[in-house]
Amino acid sequence: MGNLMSASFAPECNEVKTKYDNCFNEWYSEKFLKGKGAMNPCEQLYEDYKACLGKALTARGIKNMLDKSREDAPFEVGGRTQDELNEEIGKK
Amino acid sequence: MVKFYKSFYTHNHDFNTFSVAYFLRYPNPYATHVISVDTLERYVDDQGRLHTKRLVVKRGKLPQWCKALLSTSKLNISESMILETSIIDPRSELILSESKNIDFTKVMRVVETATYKGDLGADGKKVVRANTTVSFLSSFGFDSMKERMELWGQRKMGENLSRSQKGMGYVMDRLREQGGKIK
Repeated sequence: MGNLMSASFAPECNEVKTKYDNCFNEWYSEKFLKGKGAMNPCEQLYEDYKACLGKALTARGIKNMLDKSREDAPFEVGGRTQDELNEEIGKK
Repeated sequence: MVKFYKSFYTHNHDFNTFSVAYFLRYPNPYATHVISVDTLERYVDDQGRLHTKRLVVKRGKLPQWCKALLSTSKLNISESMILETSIIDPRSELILSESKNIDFTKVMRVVETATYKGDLGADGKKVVRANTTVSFLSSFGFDSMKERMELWGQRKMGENLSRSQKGMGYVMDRLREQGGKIK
């Protein structure tokens, strides 16, 4: 909030992260939530941020741990699979 | 044995404000243990839903008796990494969210799944209904230790959720003051 945006775990990525976050937040509240989100103007900023993040995750040995964790499909613990959730969203 | 904690809570804000605050909820005065938040993955699917994966790094909070045990096993838990996955459907005003720790999963695996649904309150005002389930599973040490660990996590959760609800409230009030603008 204000200047108190969250930091990146990798200080060297803070600058590109802030640029991307500002762009995303504007797009999210002004376009996406109003149903005008088809075009995402933040893609290039996100690529820059992701490139920095990718390097930092690998360098700090976090990437392997993350890849392993991401293999587990999310939302399954609540007893629901991704397909069931899609159905649930579809019904609403 | 896995332990569960369930919670229902109604936020007195509209869905749009809530969903903006969902991404902006760190840092806030009720979450000073959050060190960083990074977006690992983000896309909009063909049905207009926003998918996001974020890496949240938190300062660890373990009970003293546990710290003592871990120090002998040379595990240093001062920080913990959480993978947060969310799907936001603006049309049905629904957020599905899952958070789980990705390190120290042997000591304790904590998975929080939540749905946040836009709704109307009794007075006709817009609200968001939160439905949260947290599961705890410890594979640490012998059985009585696992049990103790899981019960500790379960007990602690009420306090933690109450803090995160206050944190969301704080961020949403700030957003409202700023007329929905982030800056």
